[in-house]
Amino acid sequence: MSDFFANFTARNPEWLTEAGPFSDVALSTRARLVRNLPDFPFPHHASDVELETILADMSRRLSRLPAFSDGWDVGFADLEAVQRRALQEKLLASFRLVSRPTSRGLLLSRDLSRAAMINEEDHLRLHAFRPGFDPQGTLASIMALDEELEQEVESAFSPEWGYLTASPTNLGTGLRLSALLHLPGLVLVGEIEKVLNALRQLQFSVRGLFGEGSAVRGALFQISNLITLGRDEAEITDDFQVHLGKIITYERSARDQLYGRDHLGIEDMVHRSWAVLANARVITAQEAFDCLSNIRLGVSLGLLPAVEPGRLNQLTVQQQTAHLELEVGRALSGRDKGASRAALLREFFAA
Amino acid sequence: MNCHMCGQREATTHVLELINGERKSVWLCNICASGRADNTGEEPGLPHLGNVGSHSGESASLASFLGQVADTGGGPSRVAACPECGYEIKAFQDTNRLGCPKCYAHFRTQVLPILARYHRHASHLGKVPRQAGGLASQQGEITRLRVSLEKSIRGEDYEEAARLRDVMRKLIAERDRGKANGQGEDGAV
Ligand SMILES: [Zn+2]
Ligand SMILES: [Zn+2]
Repeated sequence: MSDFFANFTARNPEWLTEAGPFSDVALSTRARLVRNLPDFPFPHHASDVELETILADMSRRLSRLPAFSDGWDVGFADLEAVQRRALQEKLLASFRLVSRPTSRGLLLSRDLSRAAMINEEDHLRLHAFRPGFDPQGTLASIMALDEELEQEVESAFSPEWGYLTASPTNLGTGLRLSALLHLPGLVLVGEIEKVLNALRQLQFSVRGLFGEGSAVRGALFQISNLITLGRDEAEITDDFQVHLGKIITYERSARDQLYGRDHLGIEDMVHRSWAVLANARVITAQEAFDCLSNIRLGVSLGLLPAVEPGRLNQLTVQQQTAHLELEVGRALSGRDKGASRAALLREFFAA
Repeated sequence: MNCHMCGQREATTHVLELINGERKSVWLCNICASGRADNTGEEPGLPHLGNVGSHSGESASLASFLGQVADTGGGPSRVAACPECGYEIKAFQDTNRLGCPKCYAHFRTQVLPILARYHRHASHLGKVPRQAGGLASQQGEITRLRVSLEKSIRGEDYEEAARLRDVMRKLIAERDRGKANGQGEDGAV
């Protein structure tokens, strides 16, 4: 949709650029619901004709919902590959959707706070986003969207097992909450593995937003509940709120501890990162993630009062490859990519 | 061959495990083999299945989960395909997915142990769609009561447990009368 992509690279969702609860640590919170049609095979087992039927039918019904009626049906399958990758970089489309775009769909609300993916692993995946750490607000938003959906679509449901999903791991409520947390303090004091393993024991999934394991870049972690069956939506959300709330507290005290122990070292790290982004002529995404992370830490410690964290989130998104390519209007390779990225970052940090 | 755990990446590692005295062969990709979470999709994938039982002291590897699936109902070859969509349980072991919503009723025996292991619960608690209504919400109420009952037993509040048990019995009797009167099960399964 040309209108949607006209101003795309600069168009960032508010849930990524606005301040929210605990936004010194949390970038955003997302809730996901899985729903399926009772009379069709799940997408991985459906024929091309069935997938097209589901896509056409679902798109038509979803665009009637108040949430999407003034938003965008982005015509996902017909987009250019770089546009689809950019949607993934903005966290609005999943890897699975982007890697197999034929007969897949994506609808977005006007403010990009609600999304519906059609024919991803399931017929329908609904997403709601909020800035900062706000499990209750995000749950309210997704359940309101589900109420709207119920007026238009009958979902496959079993009294015993709840909403029926392609993978048994999503069965029941189909509800998965995720928070995007910035945890540089825990990384620097060497506590991160301990904390993340404790979360895994409690049946949460933890992964780096960029990179994995010890190679996580930018200290950004996405944490989600795994259990979807046998607990109702409120209990899942309370549990999520309690356990992730503790992680936020640990992160804050790790930052205080670090700064108290070696304020000169921290200030040096923060300002060095600033100097890199203000001066580099060629920079990799990895180095940029790490520098942006250090600067974000500096902002939360009050070292850089003029910088808004939301602007850093925006740059974190915009310095990725598909965004750079859309901005310059052509495919970028190797050094050209690093040079475009450096130019984008200098524009802000050398200003 | 694709990885037996995530079903997405090329398998590179071969693992032999001893399940019930029988050797089972499992192929994993390098990511699943190292026990790392699935990072290719938006969602955490089934690799976690293998970790679920580990902290309750039981060795719950993926292979034992596969073994369990294969052993239930006398092996995959004897379980017929889903009459609705033609999906076979063998494919479930490869992809960790079912073929259609009706597969759940058909492969019930195979799915139940996995649910109990992964979610630590085997029945739904939470939102019931308006269309399902009636019997479904009654079933939801029974599940809710059972959870409270378990909680009060754990909390050693036996008086409350007895009260909940009686309410639950009454509801179950009502539900079964309803079924006998031909209201039938909800059509969605
Ligand atoms: Zn794998
Ligand atoms: Zn089926």
